[in-house]
Amino acid sequence: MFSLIRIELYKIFSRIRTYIGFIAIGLLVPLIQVALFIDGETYIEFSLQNLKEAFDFQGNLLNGYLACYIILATLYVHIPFLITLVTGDLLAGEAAGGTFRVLLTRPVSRTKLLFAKFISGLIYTAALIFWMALISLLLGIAIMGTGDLIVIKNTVYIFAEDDVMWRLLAAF
Amino acid sequence: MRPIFAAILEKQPVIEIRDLYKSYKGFDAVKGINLTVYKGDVFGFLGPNGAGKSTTIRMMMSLIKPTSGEIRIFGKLLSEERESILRKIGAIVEKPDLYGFMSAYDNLRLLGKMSGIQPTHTGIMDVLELVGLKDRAKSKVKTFSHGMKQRVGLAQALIHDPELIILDEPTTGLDPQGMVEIRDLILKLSKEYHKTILLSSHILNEVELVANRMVIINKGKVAIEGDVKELLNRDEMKVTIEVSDISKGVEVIKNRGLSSAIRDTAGNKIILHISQNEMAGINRALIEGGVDVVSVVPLRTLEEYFLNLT
Repeated sequence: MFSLIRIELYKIFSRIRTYIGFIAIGLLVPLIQVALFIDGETYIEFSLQNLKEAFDFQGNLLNGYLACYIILATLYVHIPFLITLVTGDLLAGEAAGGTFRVLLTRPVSRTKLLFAKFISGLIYTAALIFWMALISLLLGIAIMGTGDLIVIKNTVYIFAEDDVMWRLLAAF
Repeated sequence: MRPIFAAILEKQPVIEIRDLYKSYKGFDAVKGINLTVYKGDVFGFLGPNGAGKSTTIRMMMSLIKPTSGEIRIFGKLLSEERESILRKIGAIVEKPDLYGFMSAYDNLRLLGKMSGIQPTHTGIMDVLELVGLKDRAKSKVKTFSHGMKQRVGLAQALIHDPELIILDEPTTGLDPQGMVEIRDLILKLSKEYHKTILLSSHILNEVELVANRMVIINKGKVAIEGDVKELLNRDEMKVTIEVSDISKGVEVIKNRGLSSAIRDTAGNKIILHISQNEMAGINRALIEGGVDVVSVVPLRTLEEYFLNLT
């Protein structure tokens, strides 16, 4: 079982398309961060213009946590596409390419084979998400520092600086 | 030179198929096939396209389930001991598709592992050498020609050193040179490595050159079964003789008392049904009778039978 998963993972990570997801995130995330770093003040001004009249905001609002939150909120639509690119190949791609037939002639039960594919799909997804969390948090903090996180939905939530990390990690 | 192991070894059945049926909705692909392949056989599995060859082979590899009937391989029921049986079978089923983005070497390594062995470097290289791809071991499979892909396909069937090798039309789409190479390889596997081989094909000639036993199946049933030599070297044959003068030629043949052997004449061609040993005499008589023989095309009865099927 373990060796089946390893074989599946080897197949996943020996293809170029597997890294498209990593590269896409590796390019998009810093792009958003740099943009925020340059023009983020305007964005915050705009979001908070009503509130600023009534309240006085203190501290570094344009921080790595905010950048991370914005990235998460924007990219969560696109990530599944990147994931499907690879996981779709695990079964459908192999079936269409005829390689699945070669696998089925091996002395391995179908259930185990499918389960191994499922697990390796999960591992790939986890790796991609981890990668995204890594660069959006670390790079964001490196560029913009830390601070309280402001989230504007129906109401404005302000999370204290030391309360933010676990919430973001959970979000991923 | 034909494999003779079947004669030397005690006849030990490797594949036994009994009353095998496979029906799809409104269509019976396989209608009661019975066959036995013995240890050491190179077994020809012949039939025109759509006769049920691939369906039968897919059932042997447990890719699909038979509607009814029994398949025993190495004396064990396939439906009960699938994994232990498959460990000792190497197969090409239809087109042997491998991972194009990986090298031939890596493909073999992974598929070997999935067959339950730990492939060693020398093991992989030996198999690649056997199929003639040693110097392309590290090239990606997608850069290979059709013939080379076919040979990697064969390599993946051999990587776990199986006792039984099932090849479903391994020469499809190959050029004559490629066909010869595969044929030589099959003979080598049989003679030097003592493998039992089941070879499906729709070309009689191809089977004749390598197999010692064969069946011909048609429309899902076994039409003919037996020893290749016996089946193909039956005395009777059909000969088409092209002569310079048709009326003179017919006369010469009639004079030899063979008027009933003449089946047809067309243009300058006479079609005869004769036994093999009469041919030389007829040829001589024609020439002595002043008739030039332009061509003689013999067709053995089995060949004719098979051509009629296809």
